[in-house]
Amino acid sequence: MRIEWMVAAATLSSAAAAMLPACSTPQPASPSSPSGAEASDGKRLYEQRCATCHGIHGDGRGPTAHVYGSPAPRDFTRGLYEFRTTDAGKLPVRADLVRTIGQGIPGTTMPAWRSLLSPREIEAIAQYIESFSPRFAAEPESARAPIAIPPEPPPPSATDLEVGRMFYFTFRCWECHGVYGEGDGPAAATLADEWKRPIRPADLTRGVYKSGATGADLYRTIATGLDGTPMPTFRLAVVVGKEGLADLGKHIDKLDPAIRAKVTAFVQTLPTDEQIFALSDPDRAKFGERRLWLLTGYVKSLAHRGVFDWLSHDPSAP
Amino acid sequence: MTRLAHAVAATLAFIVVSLFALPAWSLPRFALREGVPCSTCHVNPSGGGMRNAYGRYVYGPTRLPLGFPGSRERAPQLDLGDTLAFGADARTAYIDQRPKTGEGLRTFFQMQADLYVAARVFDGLTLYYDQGAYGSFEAIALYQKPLTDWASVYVKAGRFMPTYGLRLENHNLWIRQDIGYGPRDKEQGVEVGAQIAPFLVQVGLLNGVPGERQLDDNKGKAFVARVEALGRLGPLRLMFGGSYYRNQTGVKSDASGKTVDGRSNLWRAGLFGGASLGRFTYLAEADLVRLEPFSANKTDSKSYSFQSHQELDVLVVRGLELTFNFEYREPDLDTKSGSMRRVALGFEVYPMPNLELKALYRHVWGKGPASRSLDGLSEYIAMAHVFF
Ligand code: HEC
Ligand code: HEC
Repeated sequence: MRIEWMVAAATLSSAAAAMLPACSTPQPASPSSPSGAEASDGKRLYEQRCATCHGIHGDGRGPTAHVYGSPAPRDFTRGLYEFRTTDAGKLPVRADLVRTIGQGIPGTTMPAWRSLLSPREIEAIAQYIESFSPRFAAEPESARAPIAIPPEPPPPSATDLEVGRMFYFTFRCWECHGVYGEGDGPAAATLADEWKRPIRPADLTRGVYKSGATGADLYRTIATGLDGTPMPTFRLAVVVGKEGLADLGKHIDKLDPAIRAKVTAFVQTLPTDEQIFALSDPDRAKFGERRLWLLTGYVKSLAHRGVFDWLSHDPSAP
Repeated sequence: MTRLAHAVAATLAFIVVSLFALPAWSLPRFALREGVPCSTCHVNPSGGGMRNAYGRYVYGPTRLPLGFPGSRERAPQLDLGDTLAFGADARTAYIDQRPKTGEGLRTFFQMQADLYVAARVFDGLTLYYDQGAYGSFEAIALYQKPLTDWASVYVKAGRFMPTYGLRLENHNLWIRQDIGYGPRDKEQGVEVGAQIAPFLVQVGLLNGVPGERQLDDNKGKAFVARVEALGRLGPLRLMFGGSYYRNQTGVKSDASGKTVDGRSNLWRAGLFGGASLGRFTYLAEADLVRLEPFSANKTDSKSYSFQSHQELDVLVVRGLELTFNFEYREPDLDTKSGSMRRVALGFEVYPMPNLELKALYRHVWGKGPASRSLDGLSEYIAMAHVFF
């Protein structure tokens, strides 16, 4: 299933890549790398704070790796990172690691270190973590351009939400995340991560997001995907005409006929490849960004919390 | 003696006993809420005392305190390389006791002051020393071997508290103090434990000599066994277990030329368990103690006592917890000398890492002659606890 999806996503992406201007974003000034003293600080702090979960050798096999039964701590030796501003398949930039370490990963045991470590300490640890994978030395930071995240549009209208919902079906989010976003789509049970461990798609109704809950955070996740997991990248895949969206996937039979009819009708209203190709480069980029924001707005609207959620929620859980 | 004098004497005795009890244990409700064994955060696999690197640098600062936006907290750096680590606990309380009749007591009290050192001799072997206030100490050589992700074994030798029951941190709960697990009841011996998730089995052989005596002068060794199962059912965490302790106490002494057999068989057994769902954690323990003198008339002189404890904790927000305790004891089940109930209501705040503030109100209801003097006792307790 995952393979099929990746092929589909890759086909869409490469079709779209031809239409998109090279997305070169001004690169943030690379933070000056910590001096030797700070680098050894990085090792010491890592061994004290991180190694109990991530392992002394960064392989994700520390003594407390499994204690809470949450997803396993990241194995840093593969150089595969979920939370990136860089395109799928690329390493994250240092700022991505710093952000993740600072804000932690809600819903998992990965703590937020922002209030316990200074920015310099976090920077030093991030640098140390990079040393676990040879990829970081081989692919310099200048070769990993972060994508541009455009400013968040005003809150979506009811029509925007409906369009976002239609995209949720046409881009086949529902196959994994489920018709109502509960993480129970027809493909959900079969998914595995790069370490061959079973993984569940996010339950989008919980309002708990691993990589931050702001619009920009969700936009980033949907745009770049989560490497190491089946969650695909959609940055280029959304720039596609109605021809590319006609095939609604092999699970479409499992979708409620009423919704299916709506989605089929919706696809017919979309512009064609030719119309999209005719747009100027900046307009075509804006066209993709608009679709990503519509998806983001809809995903955000799925979050709701009931009284039972409040009662059964442990506030000390990260 | 007048009734008033009686009441005053009994109250003072109660207070003295309470005060000489020093808490040094972990918080089983944290373990249950997280669904993990005590050894996740503590050096001692039975919990309590010094925190390990995970407890100190990860759990303590990241999951315990109130999180103020923008606050910057620094965990104290107390390790010397990766061989020596230090830790401490200090609890200072202000206690206001108001008996129904007679004078009360208002006092500051240093409930606990423990300094810990743990030395990693080599991977798996740890030497652990805990110097407590008022002369109480623990010294443990601990060998731990993880077998798989879900199984591990340990061996512990030295001087420590036998592993029994829930191991609640509060020393003067009846299920601790009454049955003989006060803060000074450290015993010497060995204990082995095996964790085969979800089970933890612990068995110890000890002198069974509490308090000051260093050598066991009777033949019977204390035997202690504890079994615990800790598991998850969706968001629900469940724990259930039982413990058993048997010892021969006292000596056959030659008092002024006459042999007096002062020995008796002591037997404690109990069940404990709990459940935790998100903000709510419930714990309970019930124990029966039997004391049977060695001497002739065995059947009449057996005595049984019963103690139980229940608590419900509500985590309002991270770092702020409401606690509600209910204790019940019957000091002598045969003679029907009476029963006591005690209720405690309070809250606990962890405003920042390494600091706990606690306020508690307790009230005792007594029935029967043995507990009349404590009936109606109210206590207001405020406590500050610094730890690292
Ligand atoms: C209590 C265990 C625990 C501790 C301690 C811990 N982590 Fe993690 N960490 C995790 C888990 C679990 C994940 C993976 C969560 C997931 O896959 O959803 C993770 C993931 C990560 C990631 C991966 C982010 C990505 O983009 O894929 C980074 C980076 C990270 N941790 C850094 C650190 C650093 C640095 C420290 C110490 C300062 C640390 N962690 C301490 C549990 C822990
Ligand atoms: C092939 C299956 C699959 C498809 C298709 C898919 N996702 Fe996901 N998605 C996942 C998985 C698996 C995760 C969880 C990754 C994790 O837990 O680390 C996830 C996580 C997410 C998250 C949570 C991010 C966070 O910070 O926690 C969002 C939001 C999301 N997906 C949105 C989407 C949207 C929008 C689409 C469609 C445009 C989509 N996904 C399509 C599998 C998929």
